[in-house]
Amino acid sequence: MAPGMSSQRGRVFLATELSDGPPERELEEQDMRSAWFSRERVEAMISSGELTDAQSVAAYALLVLHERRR
Amino acid sequence: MTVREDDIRRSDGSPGIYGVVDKPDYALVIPLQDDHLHLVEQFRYPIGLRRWEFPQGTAPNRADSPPAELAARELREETGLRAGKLEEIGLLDVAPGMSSQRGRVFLATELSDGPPERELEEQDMRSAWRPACPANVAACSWRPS
Repeated sequence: MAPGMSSQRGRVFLATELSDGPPERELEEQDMRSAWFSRERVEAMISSGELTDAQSVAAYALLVLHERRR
Repeated sequence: MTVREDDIRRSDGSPGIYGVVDKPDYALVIPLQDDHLHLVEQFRYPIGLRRWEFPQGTAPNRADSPPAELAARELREETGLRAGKLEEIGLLDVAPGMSSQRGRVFLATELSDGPPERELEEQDMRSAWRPACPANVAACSWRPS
């Protein structure tokens, strides 16, 4: 995750064939909201500095590489 | 670097604690030349492994320096490369669930060689060029833009 300061590592999963349901958020996640965005919008958000979470940006790069391999 | 533990109150009024690692902004540099990317490898103590990564670093002694200056310095220190052109292409939060550190990403081109000037902590570092597009990946065309 941040190998200069943490031992934490993560695995990235691609989720498809999705169906809706109610969220069951933890106490710490009570301010969370969620929404769908087009790919173009997500890429624009990364470029403009609106989506800045390093894990999300890295995971999107993994998605692009995954799709290229198929 | 400082580590703090804050008492916080969530929007429903419930109390909690949040541990935060404070570090000054960092700069990460993507050196690109002739479809090759320059990477550095070093031992990352927290995960106990040597890993390849883009040159990156935080201003020493917690001094906040201009991002482009920091990027040029990290590139020079870690790889010896000097960039004729340094373009800021993005902003990253390294681990916003545990750290306040934010980073700026630069694309470095028009590169020329020189000797690295590594810090004491970087003495095990090595660096090398890697193809941006490995030969065994068929439709490989993605580039940082």
